[in-house]
Amino acid sequence: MSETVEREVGRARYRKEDAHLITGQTNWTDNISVTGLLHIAILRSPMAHARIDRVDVSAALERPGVIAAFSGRDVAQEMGSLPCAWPVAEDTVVPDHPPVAVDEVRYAGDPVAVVVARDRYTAADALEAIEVDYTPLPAALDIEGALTDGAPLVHSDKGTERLHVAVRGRAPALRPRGRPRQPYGGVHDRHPADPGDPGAGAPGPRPGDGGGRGGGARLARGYPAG
Amino acid sequence: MTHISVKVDGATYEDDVEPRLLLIHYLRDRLGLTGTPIGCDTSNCGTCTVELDGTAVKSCTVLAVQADGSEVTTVQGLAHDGEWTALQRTFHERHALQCGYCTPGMIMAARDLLREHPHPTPDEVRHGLEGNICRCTGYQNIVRAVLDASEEEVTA
Repeated sequence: MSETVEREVGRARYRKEDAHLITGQTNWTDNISVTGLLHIAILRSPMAHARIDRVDVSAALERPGVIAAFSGRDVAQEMGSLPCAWPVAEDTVVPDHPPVAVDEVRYAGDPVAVVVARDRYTAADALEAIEVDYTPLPAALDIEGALTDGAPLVHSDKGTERLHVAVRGRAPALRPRGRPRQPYGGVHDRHPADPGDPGAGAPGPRPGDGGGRGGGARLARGYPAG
Repeated sequence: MTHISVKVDGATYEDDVEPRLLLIHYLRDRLGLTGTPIGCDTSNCGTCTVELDGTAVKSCTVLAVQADGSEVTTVQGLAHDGEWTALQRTFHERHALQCGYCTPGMIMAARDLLREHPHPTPDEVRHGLEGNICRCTGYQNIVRAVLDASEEEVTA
């Protein structure tokens, strides 16, 4: 008498993790609330390109419920420039990248100042009290325009808009015969953030980690935290 | 502060809220109903979709005071005694989710769609869910799940 073992390979399986996802019982990062949790709001540039002549956050600091307010210079003095984690080629030009703009805004939406408050509504309200003086600068609005001689530069100290020369595709020997390499001719849209595909983190120790240890964070990239 | 009385997933809540408080923040932060996530805060993504008196709304663009005297249904109010609705079951069976972040909004929007079009074509499903963004599935299985559910009796 022989026992038949059902094949595993190629057999359809139902997901095991769906029960909380389809009933609203998942613990997303945004659900995590810790005692004393603060909220930030970010003031952003209304201009594509401008010099920042002055940022004054002092009136925001006077609002009830506001814990702190920072200009780009304040943040840069603390954190410096964000490093480029992946310079993709040896000739990659790496401009300074302060987390909040210091002297110049380089796109509409570039962060200019930050408010930290007891709750998100208070933080958002306090942005109104921040004063910023801008001097508008010329902007290039598409890739081709940005690469023409004399075009306004995003990072004028680098003297070029060409970050590096990319070689796309496989080695030349594998490219179909007779097909010349095409110059890049892409059109870049007004790219918004991708809702639903964020990285997220919740600071503070996990419950059960022995409270007194202090630091730590729960991090997720669009995945449930727990 | 404005006094509101709202029935959410079968329970009635009486609260004083700021007139500008968004419904999604009322649900999540005040009532602790975190089953409805926030995707974009700008009504682009549909993740926060709930039903307000039987119509799907993006709760990041509705004020809590607008829900005064109304009935709100969230994804947390669908299953009864552990029994899933047809859409919850077909989303599972059709593998219509991966990370699951958009799923509450997808299911709530699909309920609204099926009330208006009980037997939709695939095109009508795609058109009906165009206000909901999914970053994982490529939508194919979501459309299949909604079509499957349309063939069953869907409770409103």
